Amino acid sequence: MVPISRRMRCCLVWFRVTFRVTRRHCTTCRVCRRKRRVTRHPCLTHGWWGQFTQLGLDTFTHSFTLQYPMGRGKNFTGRNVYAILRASRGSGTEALVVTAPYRPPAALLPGTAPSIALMLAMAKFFSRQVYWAKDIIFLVTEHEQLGAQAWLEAYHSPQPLFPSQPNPASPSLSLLLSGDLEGRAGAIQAGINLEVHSAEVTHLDVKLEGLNGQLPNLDLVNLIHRLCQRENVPHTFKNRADHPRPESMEGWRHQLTTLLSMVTSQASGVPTGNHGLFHRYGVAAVTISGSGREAGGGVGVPIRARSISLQQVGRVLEGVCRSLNNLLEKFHQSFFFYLLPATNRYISIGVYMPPFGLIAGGVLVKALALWYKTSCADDSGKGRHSLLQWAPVVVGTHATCFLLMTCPPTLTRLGLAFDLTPEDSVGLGLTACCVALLLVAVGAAR
Amino acid sequence: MRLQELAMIDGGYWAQTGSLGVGEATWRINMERVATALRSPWHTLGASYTLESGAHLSPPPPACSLRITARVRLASLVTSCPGPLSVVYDQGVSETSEKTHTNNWAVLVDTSRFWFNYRHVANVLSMYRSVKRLGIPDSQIILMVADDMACNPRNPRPATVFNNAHQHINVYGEDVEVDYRGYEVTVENFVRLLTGRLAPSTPRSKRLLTDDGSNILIYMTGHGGDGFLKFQDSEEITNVELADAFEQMWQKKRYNEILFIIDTCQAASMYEHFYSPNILAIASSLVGEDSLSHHVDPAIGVYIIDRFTYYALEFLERVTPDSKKTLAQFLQVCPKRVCISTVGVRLDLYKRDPSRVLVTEFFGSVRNVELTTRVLDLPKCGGSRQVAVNKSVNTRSSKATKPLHYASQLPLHHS
Repeated sequence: MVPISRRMRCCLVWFRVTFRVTRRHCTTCRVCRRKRRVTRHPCLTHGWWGQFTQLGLDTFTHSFTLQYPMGRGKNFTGRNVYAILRASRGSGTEALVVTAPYRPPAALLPGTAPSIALMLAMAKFFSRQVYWAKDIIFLVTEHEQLGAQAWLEAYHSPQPLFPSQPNPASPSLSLLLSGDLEGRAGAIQAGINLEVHSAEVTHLDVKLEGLNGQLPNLDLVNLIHRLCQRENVPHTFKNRADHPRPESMEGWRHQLTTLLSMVTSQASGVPTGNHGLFHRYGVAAVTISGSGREAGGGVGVPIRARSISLQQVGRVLEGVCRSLNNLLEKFHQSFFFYLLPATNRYISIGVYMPPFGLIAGGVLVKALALWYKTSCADDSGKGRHSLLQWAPVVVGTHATCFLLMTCPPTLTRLGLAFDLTPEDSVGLGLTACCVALLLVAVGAAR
Repeated sequence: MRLQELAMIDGGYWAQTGSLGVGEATWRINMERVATALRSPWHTLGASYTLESGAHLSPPPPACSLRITARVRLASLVTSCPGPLSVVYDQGVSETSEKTHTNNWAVLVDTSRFWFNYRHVANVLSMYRSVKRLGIPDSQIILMVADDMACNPRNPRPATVFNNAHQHINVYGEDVEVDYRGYEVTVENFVRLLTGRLAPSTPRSKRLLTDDGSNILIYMTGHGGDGFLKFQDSEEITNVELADAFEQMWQKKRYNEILFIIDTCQAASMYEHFYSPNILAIASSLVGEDSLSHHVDPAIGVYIIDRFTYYALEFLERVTPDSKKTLAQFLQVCPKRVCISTVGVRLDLYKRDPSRVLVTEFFGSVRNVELTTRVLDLPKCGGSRQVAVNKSVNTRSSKATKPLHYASQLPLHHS
């Protein structure tokens, strides 16, 4: 299970983005106009449901609830819509997922309506082909990563025998109640998350980093870059295209910057897209994103007279899906730990780990030297130090850390008294604790 | 007969034309083997050939001369003639019947499964098509295919297998007969098939019912390594096992000649250990080399044919049942510049000259038909033993006679 701290981070970041917005009511349908504070949009899900069902796919909705632990402890609900294209000649034991996050028109992040349109077009085209050996699941999620996480949890957890029974695998401290899925396909082999923001994009950016810095198999990344190359679609990593002269000094610097930006995003532990939640279930997934001209091109991407049309993006995705269809096993041949300085170069763990090992070895050598020095000094000292004198420090440190870990809900309730938002109250409270501890430490040192 | 052929006659060859000097000699002919070759008890042999100067195991003739008016297999002609042996060959027999076999069989094996090994199935089915087109009937072809590509869900053109990206020929067709399919293609089944040790309940279509007049074409394709061939991703057959299987076949007189073609990586290692006679082995690559695929079909996403088989098929497509192309030409189909790997050939166990062996002697099932306008008297039982021309019947020579030619062996159709 993910430690609570990361879930908090997830909640904090994305709630700020989505839930503030969804507190306004949607004005498009009669149902929503009547309610003041509405947190879901049934009209849109019905629209997509209709579209997918018309194509002949098995369409389902999935509801999930988030029990927000901080502040007043409200419950927020969300809905995902997913449609399964069953392979008519396949055995149905494996599946691929093509997903897109739904963003309401007033969201802070760029809209993904073209992604959903692309998904619908893909579904229509794929449903007419005979060469599918795996089922394809088209998933539209709500509330960014929460929807994707809820769906994945529900997909991979055992379903209760009777609908009225509670889910046997639900954790005791449940923040995200993922509910049950009505329909399911086989084991998921790979996932593609689409975040195409405009009908005419300048380039396709492939995002890899997942939760806690986990990465998909390098084969999937190489596949997408190769297909983009074949279809003459400019492709970037970290919004930076490959330098034309990588062996020159500028090329090296360009690649170093790309590498460092990948390292920083991995170090933050925050997934760069919904794909990051798939990795914990052993599914290789990436996000393919593209923006229009107004977002500015990527670094080093040549400005072309014509942008990439949705049809070209669709061709790349069709190639990706067909290549994934040809697979017989899950991705396991290539690397899971790597660093990419460019779209066509990689540094595997076998190359970047030895220098880190040597650095750590230096620290170890220093520690051994210190121990040796102190043990030599011990012979001249008066008695043996017992370890017990350090026990209060150890216990005290652990207790302080435990308190810090469990304090955010309390802090938010305190903050309500001062009319602070939960994020502010947690931030201020933790900063205050840190300062207090520093003062205590300084005082104790004296 | 040249001296060296005489020296090699111990293995059992067809006597070639020519004549040699004679001298005092002790010689004998293994009459039993000759009788077996001619399918008749030896005491009636006189009808089909004549042996001058006494052919039996009796004191040697004063002169070492042997007159043969028919093709006779001299199984163990041991000679200690001070000079070479005289064999005078009667020209009354047609020249094309230099071959020594009476029937043709083919064993075509594809050992690999999974969609990305599409090309191995296409290889073996293309050979099947060629062999069938040239006349070997399905009852004498054993086709072993380890996986079903035509009905694989990934096949965008279901029920078809193509060996060319331009999809000229659907090698799966409508009349393909696979004898060993799917998981039945195992090393045990293959060796049992070759040696004939099958369960009594095995149907005829799964048996190799060859005899010692059969020329067998054995074609194997799949993934191989140094000294082994992989079956079904789970087991291997080694070159020693294969050589022993062929020796068992030889001991049991289950073949006349074998043409062994193998198209895998490091294929030459598979024929290294052969020690039975009359085997000509062709491998698509030498030890240490990989055999390469020819091209990928972008509509399917997999390679669909291997280089050696592609060029072999190009050659075979131009072979008709009455073609005079020889095995020596077949050995040159894939030079290094197109095959990239070096084609390995093993000729030391094969005593005939490949430039005198027709390709159809292994790939086709050709029987010579000689057209004549004469009337022949067939011998009555107990009467004269020879087929004689009936001179009493007056053939009208005034009729304008069209020039006679050999009838085309089989109706040629491209399916």
